[in-house]
Amino acid sequence: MASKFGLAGGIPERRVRPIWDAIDSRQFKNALKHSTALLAKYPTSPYALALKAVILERMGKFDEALSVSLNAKELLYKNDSNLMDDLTLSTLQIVFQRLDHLDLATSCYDHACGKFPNNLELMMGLFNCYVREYSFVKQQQTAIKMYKLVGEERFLLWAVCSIQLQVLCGNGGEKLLFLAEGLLKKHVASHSLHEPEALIVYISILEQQAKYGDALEILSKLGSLLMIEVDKLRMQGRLLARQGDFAAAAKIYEKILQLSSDDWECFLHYLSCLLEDESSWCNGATDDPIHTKKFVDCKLSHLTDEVFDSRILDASNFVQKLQADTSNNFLRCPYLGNLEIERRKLLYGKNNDDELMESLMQYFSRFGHLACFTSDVEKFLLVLSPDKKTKFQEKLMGNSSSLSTEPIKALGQSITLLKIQELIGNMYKLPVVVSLKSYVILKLPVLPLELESSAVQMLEMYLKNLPLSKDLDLQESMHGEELLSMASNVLVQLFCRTRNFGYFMEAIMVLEFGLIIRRKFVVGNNACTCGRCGRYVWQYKILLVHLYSHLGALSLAYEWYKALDGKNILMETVSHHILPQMLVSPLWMDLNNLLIDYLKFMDEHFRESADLTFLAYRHRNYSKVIEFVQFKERLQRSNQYLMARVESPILQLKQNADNIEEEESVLESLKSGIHFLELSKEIGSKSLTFNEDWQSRPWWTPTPEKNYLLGPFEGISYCPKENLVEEREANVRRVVERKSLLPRMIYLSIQSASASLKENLKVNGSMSDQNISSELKHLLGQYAKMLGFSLSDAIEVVMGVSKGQKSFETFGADMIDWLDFAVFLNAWNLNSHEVMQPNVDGSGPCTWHIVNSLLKKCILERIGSMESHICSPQSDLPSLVQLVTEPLAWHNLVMQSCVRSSLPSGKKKKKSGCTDQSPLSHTVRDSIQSICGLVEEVAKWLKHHINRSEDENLDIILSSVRRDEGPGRIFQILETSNATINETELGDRISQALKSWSPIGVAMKIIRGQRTVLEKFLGICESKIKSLQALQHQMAQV
Amino acid sequence: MTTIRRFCCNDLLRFTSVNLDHLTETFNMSFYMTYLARWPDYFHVAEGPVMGKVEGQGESWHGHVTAVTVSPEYRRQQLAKKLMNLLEDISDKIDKAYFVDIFVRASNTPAIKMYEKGLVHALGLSLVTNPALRDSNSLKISATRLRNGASPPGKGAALPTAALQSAELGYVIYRRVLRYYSGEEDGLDMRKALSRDVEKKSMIPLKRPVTPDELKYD
Repeated sequence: MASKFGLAGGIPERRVRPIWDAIDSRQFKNALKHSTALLAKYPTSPYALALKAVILERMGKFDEALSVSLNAKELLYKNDSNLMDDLTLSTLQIVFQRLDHLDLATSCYDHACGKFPNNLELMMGLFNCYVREYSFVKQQQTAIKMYKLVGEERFLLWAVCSIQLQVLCGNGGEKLLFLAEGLLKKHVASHSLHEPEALIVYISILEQQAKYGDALEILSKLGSLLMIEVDKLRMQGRLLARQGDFAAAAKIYEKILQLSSDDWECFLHYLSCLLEDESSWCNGATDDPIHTKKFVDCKLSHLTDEVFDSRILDASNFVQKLQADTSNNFLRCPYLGNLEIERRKLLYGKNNDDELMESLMQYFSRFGHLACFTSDVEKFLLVLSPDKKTKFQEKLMGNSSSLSTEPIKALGQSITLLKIQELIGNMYKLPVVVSLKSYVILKLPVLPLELESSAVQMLEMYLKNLPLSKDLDLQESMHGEELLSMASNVLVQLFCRTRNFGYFMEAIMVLEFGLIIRRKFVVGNNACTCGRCGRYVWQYKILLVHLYSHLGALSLAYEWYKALDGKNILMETVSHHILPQMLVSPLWMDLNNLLIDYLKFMDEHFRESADLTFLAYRHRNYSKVIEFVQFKERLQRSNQYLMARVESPILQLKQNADNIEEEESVLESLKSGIHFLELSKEIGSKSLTFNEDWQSRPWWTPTPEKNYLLGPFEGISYCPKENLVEEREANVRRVVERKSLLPRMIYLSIQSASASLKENLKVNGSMSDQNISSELKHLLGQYAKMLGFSLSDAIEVVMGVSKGQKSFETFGADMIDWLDFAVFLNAWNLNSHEVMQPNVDGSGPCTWHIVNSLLKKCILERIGSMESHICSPQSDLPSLVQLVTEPLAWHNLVMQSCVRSSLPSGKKKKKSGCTDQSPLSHTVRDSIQSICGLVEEVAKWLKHHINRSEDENLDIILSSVRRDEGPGRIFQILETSNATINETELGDRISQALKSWSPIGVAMKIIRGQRTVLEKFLGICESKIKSLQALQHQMAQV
Repeated sequence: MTTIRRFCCNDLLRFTSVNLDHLTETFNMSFYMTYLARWPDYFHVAEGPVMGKVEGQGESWHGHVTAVTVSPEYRRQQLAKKLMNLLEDISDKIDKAYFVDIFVRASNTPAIKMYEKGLVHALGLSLVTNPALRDSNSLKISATRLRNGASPPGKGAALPTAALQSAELGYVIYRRVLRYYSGEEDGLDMRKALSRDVEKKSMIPLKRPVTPDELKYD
């Protein structure tokens, strides 16, 4: 058995090698040729067949590949010879895995192991199959068999990991851990342990059972396996603390800090142990591992005054010692430790804010120039009252005369002062402008008294300090770069408060300016267009993505988003900057690419994750095994992933809705939407994960659902990036729940409309009318429930609104969902006739009229409200796009279905119920006409805006920033920034960049960006008009 | 305020700002996870990760720094040096390697200077990557002959960002590797001998350049 030397699956290796070489170099045709020759010589060799299957699969011939591999499998089973080797099995396994038939691969290995029960290689193969299937119990059983066979430590650990996975990721109860512990205990008694990772797993098993004492004992016995001393000490400290032995734990943490005095996490543990506060260990399980909290929880009240004083004194002395022992000027931890001690004292009531403020001042004088200063002190500022925060800021300002003499350091400190002002929220309390009389020009770095001057000061500070970056490599961050982001944020704040569009434009201009400064220039002063060179300063780009999105120049936003190069895992963490806007945009191609790339990345990871897990098993890194499985689960439960899985088919349905045949083939590929119904049911019980990086979002839109610029300004004094996970989770659930019903409801609506005209005529395999009706009714009921109503109440609502008896406000933020509901209601009613019917002559109210009038009202209202698109950020355009591409498109499908069923074509009989005399026929005809007219209105509106001259648009933009009052100061500085360039001071690169700066160019880009969106939307409308006109034409022939 | 600890999968979701930086390559998942599965001791994180591996035979047994990067907010604080020192330490003490090496674009003078002397004003490094991985077997994640698709990092290059004002890293240019970066730019293989290489033989520069094909350790 097994492969003998020079033999591969029983075939000489030299005959097989050319095939693999051809596969590796993707020459599949060539590979197939070799494979045919090989099969001619070895027609019954499972390995030769498996090779052919590999090639066929790679060529995309999946059915053939499956059938060939099944042949190979059959031969393997039949064949009693000794050709059941791992090479054949692993080759077959590859094909089965790629064809999504993991079970077949497993059964091959299972069969082989049955045949050769003592073959370790085959058992490892079988174990690997179970790893791929995430069958933890089977993994455990197989590993135990291997352990029994050879007694090796690694197989025992494979079994232990499989047990741990059952508890952490499966349905296994915690009692199983006791079993794992027993296995390890027995092994250690006879063989001890030899792998550091085995020890880590053993200790984690004990820790999970709260057996801290036992864990400590094992650690003291086998701790020498851990080669990194600090790792061992950390483990020891944690176990002691969890055991409640705080004094001993504090000693251990002290030791770690002596070895590595900049370890902040360790310092917090040290202090917690001194103060006998277990909160930092207890909350571990509930904390979000991705979005860490700024505020460090602590418990203090249980200590007596005396004890508290003496422990804090110990901590202070230790911190002093750490400070004294280091000559390294970069070590922040001992100084931050001081701040933490003051914070705890303050929380305990031992001192007042002044002492903490004093310590903060000292920290500033040492580290105030560092970019991380503000994030370092944020958690300490949180415990100060608003008044004290302001006082702290004033103290810092008062000290500003003593800023460093070193220009780069002084710039850093000045930036920190501004950042602190922003962080405390005082920036937002400044008046927009103060009267000219009282305005005093303040010298740097004293902060201005008004918001507008603040922005001006930031820009001027940036420009003034440009020479500092003269000699920096183009790719290095420039000094003071964050000033432009800050200025832009202040300008958005000004826009928010004054609704003066000019500020919004200036917020954009400042960032575009910053990106130009970092652009590479090649011979002839031309800006480099290689893409890579435009990639610097991602912070500016993200802000621009949001500003352009808000302005309706989504194509421009998307361009900047692409320039972020958010590939691989970044797709999970940064897509939220663009995806939500794209979902309601007419940029379907770009959206499609976004969704495809994202889903491809995620699905690929899910496919390869098990192989990587097995790699960790093989390399005996057991803790990684657990981590990999948990991480895969985390990504599988990603809210964004679930959303994308639903939105991707909906996009396909939107794209094909003008042609019912194409729509039906999309629906067929979606199995008529059945799977999505399951997702809708499941989502309620799934705990979702939120892996997005919220920190990089602008202050005014901390999550995709929140946009402070939309509402009236209500004095946003402090806009923290709140942890909005709960709110988001509810929202995502709601959206996924509703949207995953759509494909099925669209399918049923088409069926229902056609059934209404078929009069019991059944096409092979189609559902009976009754089933369609009852399922659609059921789903309508669910849909209504999600909108907060019973079916009958929801019907009343849509009827009420369409008749004008109820206001549109009733729909609230769910307008699109309500209109979808109305569309499906009409489709259902066509067949069930449960709601109402038109009069014999087609007049009078009917569900058709409800839908038509609702669409008309909503669409015309939106058009009317968007007179000046260019200057009205976040206009109603996205909801107009949604109206046309969702409810209107589904309604169009219902009409197409009606018309198709009425047509006397081919074998179909002319339906008696649909003569040109029938009321339904009248109603359908009227509806088509009404909807077509409506889309024509939208197209007219779009053309009007598209055809407006660029000069006219440019004037609108420029006049918003060239004013005597309000915005304009920033624009003026930017416009004149390249008037007097001192090339010696700035260096060649920055000078060239400045020369190329053109604010008009930016304005033109915006105009074109907005126009692109409108043109795409017009394209969609025109396609709908064409489809509706064709319907009208067909109806005329009925 | 730097806790250096082992890198874990969740860190992939925590370091968005580091990865968005244009000097930092965002590798594909199997690349990160292969390193985690094989060399977890060589994958640490502070305010940005350092990743590497240990490989080679005989006197070529060495630690390799694949990538090191520091979040922009925390640059100019010698963090990269700390991370490098950690990997050197692990190679030296745990794996008893002879030397540590790092590859850098030949045009990246500031980074080269920093690795040599670490005395360059206002310069530092952000990323070092090793595209030669495409030629090694290290990324084959299963016992099959099918490649797993882990692509070689395209960007590579150590580039300046953070200042290491007094960092003495002590690497020398050992040899030039022709067209190492995406078949275009030459790479420099820089080395630092560890205690096992008593005579510092691993640091004696080669006179002739080599081709990427000659870089075989596994």
